[in-house]
Amino acid sequence: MKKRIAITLAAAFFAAAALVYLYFTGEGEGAGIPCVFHQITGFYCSGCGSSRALRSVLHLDFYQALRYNAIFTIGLPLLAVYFGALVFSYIRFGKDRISEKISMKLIWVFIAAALLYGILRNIPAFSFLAPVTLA
Amino acid sequence: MNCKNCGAELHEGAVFCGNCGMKVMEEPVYQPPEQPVYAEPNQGEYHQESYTEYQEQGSYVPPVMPEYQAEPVVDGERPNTVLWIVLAAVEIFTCCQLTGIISLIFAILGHVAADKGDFAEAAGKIRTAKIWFWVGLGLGLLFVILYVVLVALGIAAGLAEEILYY
Repeated sequence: MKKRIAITLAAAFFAAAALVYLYFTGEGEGAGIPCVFHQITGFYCSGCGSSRALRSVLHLDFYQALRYNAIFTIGLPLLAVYFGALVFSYIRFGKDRISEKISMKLIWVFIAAALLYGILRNIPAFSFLAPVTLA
Repeated sequence: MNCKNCGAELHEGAVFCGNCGMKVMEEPVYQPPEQPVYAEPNQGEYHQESYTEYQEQGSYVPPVMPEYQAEPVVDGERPNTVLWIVLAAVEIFTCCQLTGIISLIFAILGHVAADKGDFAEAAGKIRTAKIWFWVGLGLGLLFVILYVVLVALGIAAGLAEEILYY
């Protein structure tokens, strides 16, 4: 168990370092990670704006986060809880005892919503779903 | 209870023997044949004595090979389909749409197979899902590294220009 705690702490350290980097860099711009899909098609995929959304969340600007990427902002706490529980299960039992207890319905709904989001935000009528920097 | 193959003591609920790897069954897997393995060719006069003598010595019992498992994952365990569905979906929405979608398809196929009870089929599908997941992540990382390198080269070129011409 000690080894698993050590691995978890090491991973958490790198994650924290990445978050610190994100917090202090480029407002309004992305994190520097290029999106191949956007480069080639020009469309916004479901994930476009999530780096900027994460930075906004770090700065506690939740409305801006939603305007960058709503699905990501809403899904973030859900994913955080799931992966947090996963890490605890991994540390305590050495294996995943969480996933079997998750509601599959919730997962399907979320995936469907995220896919729909990726399509809608490219339609002019739903342009408010596309990433936008607020004044 | 004890392993039928090697005789080592097994703990309660063991599926495989920890000593020889033999699958734990209700009845023994290997049944020695009724007659001796080696049968003396009939040479006309059949010596009853030598026959029973041979039988008393005991017939040759070849060692039984424990069942070979290709993967550490056992048929009896359900692969973690839920986790890989979530991971594949996250990959679609964060880094690599293409591999994420392929990985998700296989993860879903694995999930459906596991729900039907076919754990072997499910394990195969999940393995494919895992491969696509890691390929996507690797490619994504590669792109980021290339991008960083290009940006760094651009910065270096700009600096070099300033130094040389200023």
